[in-house]
This record gives sequence, structure tokens and C-alpha cells, in this order.
Amino acid sequence: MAENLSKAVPKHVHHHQRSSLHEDIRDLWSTATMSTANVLVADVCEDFDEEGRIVGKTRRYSQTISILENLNLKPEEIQQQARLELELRRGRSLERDPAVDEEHDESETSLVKCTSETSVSLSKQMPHQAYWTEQQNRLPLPLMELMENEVLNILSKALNSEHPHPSFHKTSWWLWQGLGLQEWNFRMCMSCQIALALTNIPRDPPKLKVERLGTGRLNGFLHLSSGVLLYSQGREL
Amino acid sequence: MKVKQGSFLWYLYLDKIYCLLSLRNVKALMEYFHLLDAHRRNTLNDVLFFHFLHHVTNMKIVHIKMIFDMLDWTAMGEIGFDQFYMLVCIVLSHQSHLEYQFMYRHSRPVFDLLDLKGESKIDGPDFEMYRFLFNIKKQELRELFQDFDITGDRLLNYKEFKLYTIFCTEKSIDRKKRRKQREEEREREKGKDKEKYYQHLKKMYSTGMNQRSRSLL
Repeated sequence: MAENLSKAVPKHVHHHQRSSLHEDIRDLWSTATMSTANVLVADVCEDFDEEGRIVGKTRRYSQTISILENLNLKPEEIQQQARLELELRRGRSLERDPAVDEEHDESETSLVKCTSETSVSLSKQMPHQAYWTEQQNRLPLPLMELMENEVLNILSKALNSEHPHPSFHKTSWWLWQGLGLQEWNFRMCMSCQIALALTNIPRDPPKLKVERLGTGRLNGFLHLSSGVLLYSQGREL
Repeated sequence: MKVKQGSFLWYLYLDKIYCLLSLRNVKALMEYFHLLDAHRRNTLNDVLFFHFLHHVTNMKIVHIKMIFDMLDWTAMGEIGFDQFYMLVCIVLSHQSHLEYQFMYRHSRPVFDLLDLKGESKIDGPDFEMYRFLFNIKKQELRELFQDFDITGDRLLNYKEFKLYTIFCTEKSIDRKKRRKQREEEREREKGKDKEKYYQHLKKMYSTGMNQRSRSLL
């Protein structure tokens, strides 16, 4: 049914379809919450460590399938995809402890059961395939792409927003000589020769809530770590 | 204050009763925060915060700076995920027209945010500065201090603020009901107008046919 739609519908209706797809995604998010009300936080947040950082930067959302392609997939194809993903997970889990392996196997078998159950209902709910793929502990794939592109744009704007001190290049060799940084009013990261944000200078007195005046100045340069180079579209710092 | 259509925040939504994000939304937001955290400190400094809000919303620069000052309650020049989550909820409540509901459900955290001086009381000028966050009009703010400043010290303590939030939610519910009624009335009128138009067309057609038949005869 979705295939016939995509062929027969002209372009101007596609635009309406895209907007209606966005609305459908938002509605699907709301139905997801009703079904996942009893999910434990640990189950959902298993990818985060104690400090709240993501464990294992290997992307779980490597396959970028568009919404339209998802809608065109048959339930058998979705089940095959789920099996492929399970095999990939098993391959990763071989590196871990056997005790953890058992837990993963149990979770995987439960996942297979879930996918087999969902495949039966999928035939009844063809328009909601995006919802069911999202139910498999995944974000809607286009949303992940959107998130990363947006963050890229924001970080590149932040990088381009501040310019180094006008006398930076002339005086950089003085810095290597260790003549001190107070004269130029900024700190230097000697390892990467990038100026650091003024707001993190420890000598400034801390603002107390009682004495706050709400100045709100935005000063400083942006110090980007090596990890952010991946997001800066290949620009060298 | 509006979220730009098609941005990541635009796809998130608040639960209409509790005015909080779902667990899945929180997980997505956490990933987003960690992507933004270029320094790997689990925080956003003022530059990143500014560019994030500037990119995702249509807020003025002055307002963005004010919000950062308000959220940076430890005065470290950076905000953590808790403050980021609070901000996103406030922005989404604004987007979904749930400002009063949000203030009612989370009156304590909102009160602590607006209590800029840390005296457990909200000052009139301070509330005036941040009324844009909850879409409160000037006149409404004046009425608030007139009607709910029971102690008469021109400051709002927590109980007075809570009373105000209860009153506002009831008022907003009444407003929504009235809007629905007005829309229903408009639809009925439209339906009546349509019927009248069709009847007029029928009359015109029938008179036209009669004239033709007479001319033929």
C-alpha cells in the first residue's frame, strides 16, 4: 500500500505527506510513552556509565534508512534486519565476560521473541512501521541524523564566532618563551596552541546568588578538544 | 519564544499532565547534550549555550544571556544536564502552550529559579525580567502582585506563588473551554451558511430551468 502511494502521488502531495509524516512521528512518540511506562531506567540507559557518558562510541544507528524506505519494508524484511542486528550484537558481546554474555543472550532471545511478536502485528499495522523500528530500543533514524547535523552546525558557528587576539601571531613566540599570559588577557593551551575561554579563569571571584547583578556577558574563545575535530568538517585548528 | 520548525527540539514533546519529557525523549536529549559537550566536561559553557539557543529558537540575544545567568546557579560559567533539561522543558511548555500547567506542576523549581537573590521570595522587578519565559503579560504580572501578595511586602513567598499557579491553571482551562465553544459555534455558522448557499443555488437552477421550459413551449 505504501509502495503504490509513493508511485502514484505527485510531488506537491509528497510535501503534504512529509509534513503529515512529521506529525505522525510526534503522535507515534506519544503512543510509545504509554507502552513504555514501566520500563526501568537501567534498561533504557544501559549505554551510560556512572558519570553519565555514553559507553562505547561505536554507533548503534549506523544504518541510515529514510522514513519512506522504512514504510516500504515488509514485515519479513524487518525481521531479517532485526536478526542481522542481533548477530552483530552477539559478535560484540563475545569480547565481554561470560556472565554478561548470558544476560545478553537472554535479552537477545527476548528481543527475538519481541520481534517475532511484532512481525505478526506488523502486518496489521503497516502504516506504523516507523514506530515499531523505534520500539526496538532505537531512535527514529532520521532523528539521529538530524541531531548530529544540528550539533555540527552549532559547534561550527561557535567555532567561527570568536576570533583570536589581533596580536596573536606576532606574539606567539613570546608565549613559547614563557613570558606569561596576563598581558594579553587570555590563557593558552600549550599543547594545542588554542586560546581558552575567559569564563573559566579561576582567579575571578565566584558570583554568589545573593550578590548577583545579572551581567551575563559572553566572553572568551572556544577551546575545542580533538574529539570535536570530527565535527568541524575537517577544519584544522 | 518559539522552537524552530524541523530542529531536534521540535520533535520532542512534553507530557500534557505532568509537563515532563518521556524516558525516550530524555535519552535522546542526553545524547544531544553529550554531542554538544565539546569539552567532555558534562557541561555547556556560555558560548556553546548561546549558540545552541540561538540556533534552535528565535530568542533574543539579551534573553539568552539572562537565561544563562539564571541557570548558572553555581556561578561556574557552565551549566550541567539538570539545568539543560529544565530549560528544554520550559521551552517546550512554551511551545505547547502549557506554561501555566508547567508552573503549577513544578512550582518549587520554578520558584527557586525566579528567586534570584536567594531570599525565598520573588521580587517584582526580577519576575518582570523573566516573565517572557512563561509568556506572562505585564498587566497580568501587576494583577498577580495586587491579588496574591497577601503579606503586603511586595514580594511573593512560595505559598503565594503556588496560589497564583493554581489560579492560572484554572483560568487557562476556562480559556480553552471558551475557545472550543467559539470554534464550535463558528463551525455551526459555517455549516448554516453553506446550507443557505446550496438552497440559493437550487432555487436559481430551478428558476432557470423553468424559464427554459417556458421559452421552448
